[in-house]
Amino acid sequence: MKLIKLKCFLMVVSACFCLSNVGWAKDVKVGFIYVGPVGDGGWTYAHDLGRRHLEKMGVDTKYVESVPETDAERSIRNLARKGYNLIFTTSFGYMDPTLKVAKQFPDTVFMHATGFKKSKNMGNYFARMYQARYLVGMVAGAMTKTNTIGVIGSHPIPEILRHINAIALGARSVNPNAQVKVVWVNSWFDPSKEGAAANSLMDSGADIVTITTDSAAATQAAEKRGLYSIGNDSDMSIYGKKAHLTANIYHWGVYYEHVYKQVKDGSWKPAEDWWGIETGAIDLAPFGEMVPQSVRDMVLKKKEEMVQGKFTVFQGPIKKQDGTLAAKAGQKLTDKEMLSMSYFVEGVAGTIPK
Amino acid sequence: MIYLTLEKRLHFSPVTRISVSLIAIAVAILVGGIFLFAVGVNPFHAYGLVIEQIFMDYWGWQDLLVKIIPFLLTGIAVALAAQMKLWNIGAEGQLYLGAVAATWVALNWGNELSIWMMIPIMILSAMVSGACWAFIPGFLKAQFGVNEIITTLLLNYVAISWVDYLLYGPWRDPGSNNFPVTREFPDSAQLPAFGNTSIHFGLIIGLMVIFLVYFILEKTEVGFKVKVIGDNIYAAKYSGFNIKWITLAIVMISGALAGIAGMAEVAGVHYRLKQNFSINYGYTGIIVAWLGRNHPIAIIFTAFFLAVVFVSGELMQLEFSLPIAMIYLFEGIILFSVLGSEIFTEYKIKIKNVVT
Repeated sequence: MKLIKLKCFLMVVSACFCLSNVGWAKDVKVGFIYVGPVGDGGWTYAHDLGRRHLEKMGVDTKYVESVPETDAERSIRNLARKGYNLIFTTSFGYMDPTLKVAKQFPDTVFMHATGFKKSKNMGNYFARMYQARYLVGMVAGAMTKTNTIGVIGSHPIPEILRHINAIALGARSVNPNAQVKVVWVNSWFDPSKEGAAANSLMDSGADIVTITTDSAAATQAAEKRGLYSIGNDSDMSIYGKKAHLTANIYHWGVYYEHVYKQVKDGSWKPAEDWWGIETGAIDLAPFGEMVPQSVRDMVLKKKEEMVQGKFTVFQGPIKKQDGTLAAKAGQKLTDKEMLSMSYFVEGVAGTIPK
Repeated sequence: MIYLTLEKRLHFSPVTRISVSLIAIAVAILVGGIFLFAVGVNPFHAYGLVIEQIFMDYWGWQDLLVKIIPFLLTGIAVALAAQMKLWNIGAEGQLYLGAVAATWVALNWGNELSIWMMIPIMILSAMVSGACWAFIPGFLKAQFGVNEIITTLLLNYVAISWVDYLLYGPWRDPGSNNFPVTREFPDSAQLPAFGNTSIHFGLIIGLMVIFLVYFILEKTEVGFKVKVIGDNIYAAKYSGFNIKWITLAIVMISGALAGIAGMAEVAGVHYRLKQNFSINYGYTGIIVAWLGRNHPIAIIFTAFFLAVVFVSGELMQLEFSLPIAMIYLFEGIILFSVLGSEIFTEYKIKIKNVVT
């Protein structure tokens, strides 16, 4: 009898202990590593809006900004040491250091944006921005008078090639004569280089410029010349009211909330998330006043088709720059093919640095 | 009327030099504290945290001792040339070229040779490469008297463009998703780390180089000549020193030392060559050397101080959510007070009471 009592008592105690343990693990503090300053108005700013979304939910968050990709290990580890047990590292170059720190802190969850490595406690995530790029490409194709759209290239990696191709496909779907010109700056965030590249694109006939980099310099340059721009990652209209047609933007808050809740209720598993436009993680910024209603309607209709899964961006026939087929009529590119894209499609005038 | 005037010091003792440097650091800390106070952070709390989380912490020491390595090597590279009043602003480029040579060795021979062969060959090739890069400004200076500040500085951009070319072209890792990085070095081409830490063998190399330079400067005839040329070039000419050759040699050795820094970074930290792997280490070396008044042993301490500044930067971000601009500001204040204090090593302030 006594023994049973003792057993019961022990069970209750251990149950309490387990419960309290779970409650303990539920205290999720979220850290962010940013590659640029939070005021870049683009990529990092978009992530920071996501972070602020978590703050509004009452979550304890912290960020470290302008962390060089080649010196990130220390910053990531510092966040982990300080008890941030869900850490988002938001640039491709953070992949290896994130993996290294993830090994040192097995109880912390690491999520790396735009990469492809995983481990027991590290996942990666990105959004299908190429869908929104296609839509802004349509806007550009409809609005250009010179049939030339300028794009500032950052790094010639599959992600960026995919995005530039999506712009070209979108533009040419409404304007078969549209050409996309590319200038590379080999940087993610370099406002002075981006501004100079925007000017040289406009010198060479582009009347709409857009970027695959992070700053609003191109929008400012277009505003100065009275030409158009399309923002990237964040709504950049405040940098050029008269120039900013629209922007392809992220709503990272939706995604960060999702991961936060997973970690909080213990259901998190190392995933490779690639969220599409139907999730709300990507979208278009509000149109500028100069975009006519007919163009808006056309683009929003296409967006609706994407959301409902009726339209796929990379669906054949897709011709490469050299005229060979990347996809036969009706053939959809697989995720793997999109993630390793290494060519430009027809309509892009530019070379991929080799 | 009371005037403050500057009077040239006839002798400057080591004590003066050290105290001026210490005062410069103190001023930087003080002014930095005022700025911290201005943005609503208690400076005592902030500095206390630096001590607690860096000096009294296992990870903190690790971070420090990893970061100090490039500063030791670029610092001594700049300081050695500065002993002869040659300003090597090109340590950054020489560092890049050193890394290129080491990477070439690692990628081509790494699978065939053992680590005992690889590391010395990589160090040697980095030295040769850095020295060759420094040969250009060295030769121009020695032969034609071309200002080495300009030539060394401009060659940095050339060096970085070279690395970009290699990374976007022939050396790009096919498995990198088109990202501009080389393949990972084989194990035999990676500098070993101490135990379980990330502190790598470059620390020993750096300290050995510093003591070697100290020995050469203080105990050898060449070192004596270098110092004489630095102090008084006319006296050196009268004594029949071959200034051209010594100039060329010292600039090249300086480049070789900066080259080792590049090798240590790619082989000890990144295990591959990538863009921007040097976060201005070559330029930081200039501050390290100046703050240490170009004395080899002092450089150990100033490199340590700069490493503390580097590492405490994101601590401030984490603890007080200070923007990155605040950290840049702090680094600027240090440089400013160090350079500003330079005048006091050569001049002293005299108060003159002039009756009018």
